[in-house]
Amino acid sequence: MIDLTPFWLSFKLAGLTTVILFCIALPLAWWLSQTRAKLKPLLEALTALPIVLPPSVLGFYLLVALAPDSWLGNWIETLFGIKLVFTFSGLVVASCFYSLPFMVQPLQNGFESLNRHMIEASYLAGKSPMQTLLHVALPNIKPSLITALIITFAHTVGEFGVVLMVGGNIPGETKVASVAIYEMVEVMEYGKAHIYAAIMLGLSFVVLLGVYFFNHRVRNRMRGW
Amino acid sequence: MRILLILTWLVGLLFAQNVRIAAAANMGYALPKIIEAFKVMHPDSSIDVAIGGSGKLRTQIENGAPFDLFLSANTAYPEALFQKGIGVKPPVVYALGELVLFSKDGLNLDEGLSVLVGEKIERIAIANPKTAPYGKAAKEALQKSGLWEHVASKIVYGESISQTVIYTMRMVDVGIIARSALFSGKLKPYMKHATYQPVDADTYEPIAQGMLLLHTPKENPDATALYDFLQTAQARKILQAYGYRIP
Repeated sequence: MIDLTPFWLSFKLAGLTTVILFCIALPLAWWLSQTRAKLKPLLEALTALPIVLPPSVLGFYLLVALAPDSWLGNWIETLFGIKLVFTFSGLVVASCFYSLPFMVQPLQNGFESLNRHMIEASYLAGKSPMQTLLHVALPNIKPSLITALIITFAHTVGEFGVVLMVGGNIPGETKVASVAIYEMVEVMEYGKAHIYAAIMLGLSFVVLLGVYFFNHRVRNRMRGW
Repeated sequence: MRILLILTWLVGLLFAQNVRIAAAANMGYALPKIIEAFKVMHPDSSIDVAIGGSGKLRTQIENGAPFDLFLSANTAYPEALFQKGIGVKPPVVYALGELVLFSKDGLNLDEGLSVLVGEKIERIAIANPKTAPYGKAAKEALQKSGLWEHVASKIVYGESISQTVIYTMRMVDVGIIARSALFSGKLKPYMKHATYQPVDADTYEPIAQGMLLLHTPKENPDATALYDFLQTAQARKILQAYGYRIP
């Protein structure tokens, strides 16, 4: 029988990461799209880093930073009472770094493509920046929003290197689907590996197809076709 | 013209005959010393080492990875490869590995594996028993000591013994690692407060490490020379200095 726990873990990880990142990235992306501050390129570069960095670099820093004898690991453990090494919570934190740009960039692009006059009209009508964001900006960037959510989710499901380095391969806790497949290949259980890999491939394709299909429809509707 | 010359030289470099060794992670500590000694006699040889879990290396070799010599952490993998017609002569055992219990915080380990049951110990690192022979031996020792059920929930799995060593030095309370790791200079910074204790040898099958020569002397003379060197008294002395027993 196929053990589906690794998939459940992968999707739980991706779901949580998406929710947390949305809360962090929404104000950040909004601010980045509206600001003229000199700080903007610096923040944009920082946000984009995980796209270029090899997962091993991120994994290495996390290994160093989260170890119980490091000040950061210690601080987090005493303050929040959560352990981050070899735990599911640790993977969530790691994934939030890893997938950050995939949430911020589509949102920011969406906000930047909005018609300035619409935003200004909202402010003239006495709406606060918060109301403008939630009631004017967000509903008008639906394709970008869906892209950000789904790509963040999918990218987190595809996470591998970081988990391999800081996860500890614990069944039911940190042994996510990508790592489980890696292990099956190593012990030459190709039959199982085929099944798992096919599930992964199928799901990923369906998710992407859904995004592109949705965006295609929305764009056409916006153009009035 | 000059560019052509440089290109030829570069291509020559690419195809120069190196010895490519696929070595189990536990050999990462002793192997550089062995290669150093080998190079004294073969100064022109060029040796590349790929360190990894034995299981992964075996899979790579089975799928045609261009290695000349496979130093496994067990005998099962080189034998399985040889059964499939890979390799030029039957595998040979070159070293016997041992397990040690290691605590970076200096916990009292005098009672051996049974300390792992204690409440103070929250995380134990072993290598993945499915892919790493040292992990398989560690699991076996825990099972034979009747401790496996009690500690299974505390265990984190290193992908190979070297990752397990990293976990043991930095992140977990106790690890079961290769004795050879203790002799690596790289561990010195962590040894100050540390305690370690050999795991009772009766609780696990000796970790007989086999090697497989993948190309004939004609195809790669240096590889054969290194293969032979590993069985000389000189190489064995180095292995013993790194905590291995000799077959």
